[in-house]
Amino acid sequence: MPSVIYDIKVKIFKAMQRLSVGFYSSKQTGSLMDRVMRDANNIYWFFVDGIPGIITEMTTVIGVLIMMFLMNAKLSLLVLFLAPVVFVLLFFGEKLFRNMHHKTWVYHAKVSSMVSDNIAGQREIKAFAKEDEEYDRFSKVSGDYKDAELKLALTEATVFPLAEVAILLLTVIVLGIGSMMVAKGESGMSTGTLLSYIVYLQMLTEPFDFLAWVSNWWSRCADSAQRVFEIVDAPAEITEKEDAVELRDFQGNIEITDLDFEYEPARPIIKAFNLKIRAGEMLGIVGKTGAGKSTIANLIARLYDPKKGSIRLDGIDLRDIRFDALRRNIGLVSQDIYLFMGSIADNIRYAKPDATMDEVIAAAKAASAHDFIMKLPDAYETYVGSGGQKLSGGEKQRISIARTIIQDPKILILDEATAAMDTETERNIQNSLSALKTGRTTLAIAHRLSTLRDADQLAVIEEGTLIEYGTFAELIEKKGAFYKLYEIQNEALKAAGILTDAASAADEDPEEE
Amino acid sequence: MNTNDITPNSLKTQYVTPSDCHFYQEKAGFLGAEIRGERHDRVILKRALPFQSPERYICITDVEKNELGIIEDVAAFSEEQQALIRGELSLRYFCPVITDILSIKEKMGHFYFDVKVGESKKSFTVKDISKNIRSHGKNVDITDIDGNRFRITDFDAIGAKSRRKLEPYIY
Repeated sequence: MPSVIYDIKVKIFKAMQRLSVGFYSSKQTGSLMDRVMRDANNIYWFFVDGIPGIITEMTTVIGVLIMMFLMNAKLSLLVLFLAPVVFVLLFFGEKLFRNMHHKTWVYHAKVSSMVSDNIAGQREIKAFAKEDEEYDRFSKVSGDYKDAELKLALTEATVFPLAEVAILLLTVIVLGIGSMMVAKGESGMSTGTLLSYIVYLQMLTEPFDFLAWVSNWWSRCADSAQRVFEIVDAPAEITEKEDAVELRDFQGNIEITDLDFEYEPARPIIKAFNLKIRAGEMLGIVGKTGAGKSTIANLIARLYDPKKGSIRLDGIDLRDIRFDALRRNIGLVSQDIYLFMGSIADNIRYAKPDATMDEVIAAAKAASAHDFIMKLPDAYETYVGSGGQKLSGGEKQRISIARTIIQDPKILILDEATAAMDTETERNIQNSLSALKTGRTTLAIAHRLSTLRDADQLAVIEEGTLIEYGTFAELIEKKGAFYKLYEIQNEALKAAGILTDAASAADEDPEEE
Repeated sequence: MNTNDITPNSLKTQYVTPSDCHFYQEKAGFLGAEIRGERHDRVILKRALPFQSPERYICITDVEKNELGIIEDVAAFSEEQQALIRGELSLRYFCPVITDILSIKEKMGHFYFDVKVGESKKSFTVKDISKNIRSHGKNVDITDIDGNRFRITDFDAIGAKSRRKLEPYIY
């Protein structure tokens, strides 16, 4: 039987892996955790304790009723006449409990989400001195959960004894009518028979009591099952076609045609976007925050599907390519880094579990991560991720770059990959990445425009539209949007004393360098 | 993939072999090495995989922590050289070995260990056990509140009583 709960949990988890990124951004962590852990348990306990109990108790009821009919058919018909009342009570009880269980679950999920949110945001909470407010917020939600639980418990404590009261009332009625039958001297009804009959009737108390509980269990189980199926049956937004193709002799050409995309209906992020990136070229994407740069990266990695238009790799629509071929050939280094629980070596070889230690070290060196890893007491076996060794943003980013390097993809997407690093580390990684770019199509998104100096072409995006395209020198000469951005950054750097006028002048004429 | 092929020379993994690396003990007792004709009178050895492969991927650095090379496998070196390498490593990775666990008591989230290290008794405190008690195969490493590390070299070999005491805390 424990395999049932294992199966349910594994099924939910597997279904969750199938679902696209969009699904996760629309759900609270706590609610998803509850589905895997709590709902699976609710279903399990109904089947483990409820179903066998129903079989046992129903057998008792049938046996007892047969005996009662054999003893006195008239009285037994009266008992059966009252049975529908019990079933009606059970039916309404189930509905009532289901609503209550659902409410309790919602509050429990809220409490779980709040705890996980609070843990993840501890730095911000402390920085803004919001401990008391957070406590108040938690107290409120936790109080709502307590109230819902209390209401449920109170209703259970009120409704279930009613089943027992019904049986007791029935006993009183049967005792009254039976006594009259004994007094009248009806055939087959003696005092002894009546007492035996009452004992049998009493034997029905426990099964009816149990049935009332089962209706409660069932309502909880049905409520949980509904949520489980919501995930198991949820259609994945990003699916693999049955006749999806492999990428053979993949060169790395990317062609984006008439691309439209929106995360939410009627709020377009990318509009009529067209772009061609030749194999082996490096394209830098620049633009203000919220311009849609990362969305382009997400669409090329097929984390989302376009609303209109297409993205083609070597002339093949992304939607026609097999997932494994796509993931193997596209490496994404994002600004949001996630390290899994495990050793640093395990995290580096995440994309290639069979990578040798030589490859792991080589990738770490290429990502300028080897030196800081070797300074840790357990080196490559240092535990990171949740509950592990604390690493700085830059250190985490270098591990994530090593992870992508080991994947050896044909298309490399660097989404603000070096944003969390100091200038020296960034330069080291830029050097490594320059070498890695050879033979790969690279898409680099960066706010620091100087990091895109090596790009073959630059695309400037504004509100989801491509407004400028060309080489660094061409765009500077054009004195358009890119030039403006560049000027603003230079002014800021000059004000901070990082850039001198001479350096700035040299930058503006890169052809002469 | 062979990342070595696409990595710039400066970032390539520089493995040392017995032919281009010779260790020696200098007068003051420090470990020195002559690597590719260059003499370094004091080198530091560090394990890249201290638990899984303590005898493989040993990183050699100078006192400035500049990497001089990596020993891929200690076994590739002569007996005499191996002894020098192991001697240095045993100093760096010195770790008292627990032979018996006498008691583990929990108080306010702190775990008070009374153990036997060889023939002597030792007491230490561990906080955050999920992070500070780690098992690697048969080895169990315990890091106390001051950062000192203790090791059980073979968890199956310590007595059943000791195993029962520690088992609930191994994640």
